[in-house]
Parts: sequence; C-alpha cells; structure tokens
Amino acid sequence: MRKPLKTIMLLLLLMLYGAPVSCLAAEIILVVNPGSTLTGITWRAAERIFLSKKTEWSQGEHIHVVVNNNPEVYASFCREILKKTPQQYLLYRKKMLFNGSGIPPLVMNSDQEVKAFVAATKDAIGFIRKDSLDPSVKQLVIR
Amino acid sequence: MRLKKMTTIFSALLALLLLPMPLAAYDLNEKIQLHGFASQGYLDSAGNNFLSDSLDGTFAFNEIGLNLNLRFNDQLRFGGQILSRKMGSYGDNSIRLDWGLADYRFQDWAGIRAGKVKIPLGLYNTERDSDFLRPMIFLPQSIYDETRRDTWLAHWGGELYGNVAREAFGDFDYKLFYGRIKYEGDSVYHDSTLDNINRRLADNLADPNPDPLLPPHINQCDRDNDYLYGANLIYSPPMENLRLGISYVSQQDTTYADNEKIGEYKTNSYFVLSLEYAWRNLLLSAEYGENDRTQTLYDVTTFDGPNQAWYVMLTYSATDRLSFSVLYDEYWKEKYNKDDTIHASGRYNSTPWRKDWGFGLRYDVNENWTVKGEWHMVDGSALLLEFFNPEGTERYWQYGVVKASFNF
Repeated sequence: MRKPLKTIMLLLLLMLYGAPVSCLAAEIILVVNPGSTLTGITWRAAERIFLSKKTEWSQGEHIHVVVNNNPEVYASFCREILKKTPQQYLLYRKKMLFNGSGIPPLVMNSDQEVKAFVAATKDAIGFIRKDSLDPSVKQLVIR
Repeated sequence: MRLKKMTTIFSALLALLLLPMPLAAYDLNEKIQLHGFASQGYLDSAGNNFLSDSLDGTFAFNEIGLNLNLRFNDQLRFGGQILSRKMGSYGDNSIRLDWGLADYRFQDWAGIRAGKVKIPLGLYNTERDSDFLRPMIFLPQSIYDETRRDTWLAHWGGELYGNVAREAFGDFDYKLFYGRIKYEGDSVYHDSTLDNINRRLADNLADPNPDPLLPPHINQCDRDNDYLYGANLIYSPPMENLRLGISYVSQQDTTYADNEKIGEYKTNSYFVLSLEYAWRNLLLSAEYGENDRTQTLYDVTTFDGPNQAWYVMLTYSATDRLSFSVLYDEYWKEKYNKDDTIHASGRYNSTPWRKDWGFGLRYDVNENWTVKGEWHMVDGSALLLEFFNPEGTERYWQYGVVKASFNF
C-alpha cells in the first residue's frame, strides 16, 4: 500500500469517528385517500407496494405511493414496516432509478405534505405518525 | 511532493463534503424525474497493475451520469441515462448512452422493456457503474470481472419482466431477455485481445516450425456480438429480507482481425446463484458462478470449459451512515484443473486462481454524498491482464481505492 493511500484512509477513519448515531422511533400508520374502500392490508402487500413490486390495487387502479422523508418517521417506517435500515431502503429506491428498472415513489418531507397528497390523490398511499392522523386521510390497518 | 498533493486534494474534498447541502428536489412530479451522479476515485496498487497503470497510483477513475425518466401514463415509461467515465486510459470521459428504454407494464406480473437494457446477471450487475449503490467500491471481481465490463453491461434488445406473488410463498421477480451487444471501440478487453493475438503471432514467428498460414502481425481487432439471451429469477420467500437468485446467460461473439474473421468467443452457459440476507444491521451477500466458455483463434481452441467463481461479503452498519464490509472472493480459471502450483503459460507468469480478501468502509455524509475506502490483499494473478503487466505478474499483491460520490 502506498503512503498517500494510507494517509487518506487514516483521515477517513478519523472523520468516521465522529459519525452521529440516530436512534429515533415513532408509531407509524399507513394512510390512504378517504374515498378508498380498503380498511386493511397484509404486511406482505404493504411491503410489495413500497418496494414498487405491487403497482395496482385489486381493482386494477394504479397505486400512487409517497414516501415520508421526515427523518424520524422515515426511520421508524423502514425498521418497523419494511424491516430494513433506512439506508437499505434509500439504496433500494436509488437502484431503481440508476439501473433503469423504474421510477421510485415520490418523496415528501412531512406528515402534512403526505396527508395533502393522499387527500388529493385517489388511489394514493403513504405513511405518517399515528398522532398526525386526521379526517383528511384514512388509516389502513396492517393485518 | 506526491503525498502533499494527495493530502491537499483530499482535504479540499472533505471540506466540500461537509458543506451543508440542501436535498435536491428533482422529483418534479410523478411524470418527470431527473437524477444524476458523479464520482471521483483514487486507485493504487502494489505488486501488479490493476485495470490501469495503478502501480504509480491514478486519479483516472471517475464516472458522471445523468438520467431522465418520463412517465407517459400508469403503464408506459420512457427513460435513459448518459454516462461519462474514465478508468485509467479507457473511457476518456466521452459521453455514451448507458441505458435507454421504453417500458410498458401490462400488469404487475408482466411488462416489457425495449431499447438498451442492462443485463441482469447476479444481484448487482445492473448497477455496475454506480458504486454509491453498494457497500464497497469494486464489485467482487470473480463474478463481476471489470475487464469484461463491455460484455456484460447492457444489450440492445428487449426483456420481459414481472413480479409474481403468492401470499404464502413470497414473490418472484423474473426477467427474460434477448438482444445483441454493441461493443465500444476503446475497451480494455478489446485492446488486450489485440495485444494477446500479436503475442501469439510473434511466438509463431519465433517457432522453429512456424505456421505459414498465420500473418506476422495484425493492426486491428474487432468483435461483433451475434446474440445474447438469458434469464434472471429472484425469489423473496416469506421471510424478512432474504433474496435468492439464479441468473443464466449465453452469448456468442465473432472476432475479426484486419476485417477478416479469425475466430469466435462463445459463452455456452454462464450461471450465477445468489443469496442476500439482511438481519438487523448485518447484510450478507454470497454468489457462486460458472462460466462455460469456448474461444477459438486461427482454428486453435485457446480455452474451453467452465471457470469457477464465488464470494461471500458481510457488511455491518454501525450507524445509518457508517458501514464496514469484509469480502472473500475466489476465482479459478478452470474449474476442473485446479493446479495449485504457479505455472508459466508462455512467457507470462500467471496463476490460474485469484483469492481476494477485501476490507472496506463507507460513510454517507448525507443522502447525496458518500465517501468510501477499501483495500484488498490478493493471492493469485488470474483475471489480471498481460496488457497492463507486460513484464509478468506477482503472485501476492494489493490494491486500494478511495472514492467520493455525489448523487441527486
């Protein structure tokens, strides 16, 4: 190994030493448009929707998926519902983009933005904190 | 002098990385999305040259990509990505189409893509040029041999794809593809083939009884792909974060020297078995592959039979931003001839195996910036090109890489 490379690796390690650790948690629920007839969904189906493997509801309507990028909500959703680390799900969505296999779900930055999108979009699905639930959207229970 | 220059460049890069970057918002809506990436690496090695004149260290290691997706309606999408790259003296940052396709998804279980489509070989071939999508900078070379990048990158043709799900049994992602590869003129493999043929011709001239039908030298070497087809199946059983895969591909090239056909290269069958399992903060990846190939040049079969390749990689995410990876990667040029003594084939001192221990770390500064570093300790010189090591190779050698990537 050459000396410049060793120096760079050392600098990188020193930078990593100060890396922040996130350990946040929030109770997360799935929400759909209030006009939806759905009341519940299996964990498998929810996972396939957010992995863009399932793109249609049972009647054939296209599912409009939105990812909530609020750090606390996003991390809880990944760990509790997708059983992935936040980083794993982020990379999964980026892979779709950069290898040409598809367009990943839309990303919004808060519960309010997600609720506004889901309320305005028939056949939409998203996730928010449970305590943000209001009549503008409808909870979809994971069975 | 060199250390000072390196440290200055790296410090400047670190300062840039630590600047507060607003998250790019290019998801204009569900109809149009524009994204891209850029990366710059530094590659160094000891013992042998790897993919470039790396013994001297090189910054000639970068990629820039830009992609645009247009969703015409819920079923139809058009997309494309242009890529500019440099790896040693290859690529030269010229702009090329990486992939470009029309995608029509009839149902979740059936869709079709046509155009320039990535080849779904193993778990990671489709994201070959986007190293920020994986834990380590280099993919395991036994399966994802960088010198054969042009052969396995993408094809012009089409693929049928879909996801078939059964609640009790999990789901299957499948792809069936057929097409042709259009080789670029400036590729490592292309130039090394020209170099190898001329060395064989020189050996023939030096032989006491030379074959009079062989030319003394060739000036140009080209490959045309006759066909490529294959399939890829990924099974996600009803178990969290487990993926099992199998890939199969077959292809045939015709080789020309100074516009005359001189031989063929045929992949009779290339299969890869894949496993990926994420448990808590650990990610395990393992793949096993055999490429049964035949090459003929000037009516002589230069190799015929399967190689053998496998690797195991374990990645531990210490935090959401920081991960460490350990890789063991093994390759045998001939599955049924594992002579473990160093042997000389012609004047080129080479081993028929390559055993690579790799150690890497990755730090995601934010959603857009990634820095990575890794080093590898290798026993064996299989897969190394004589083209880069004309004086012969060392059995024990090392290489190391650092790379910074930005994507939006």
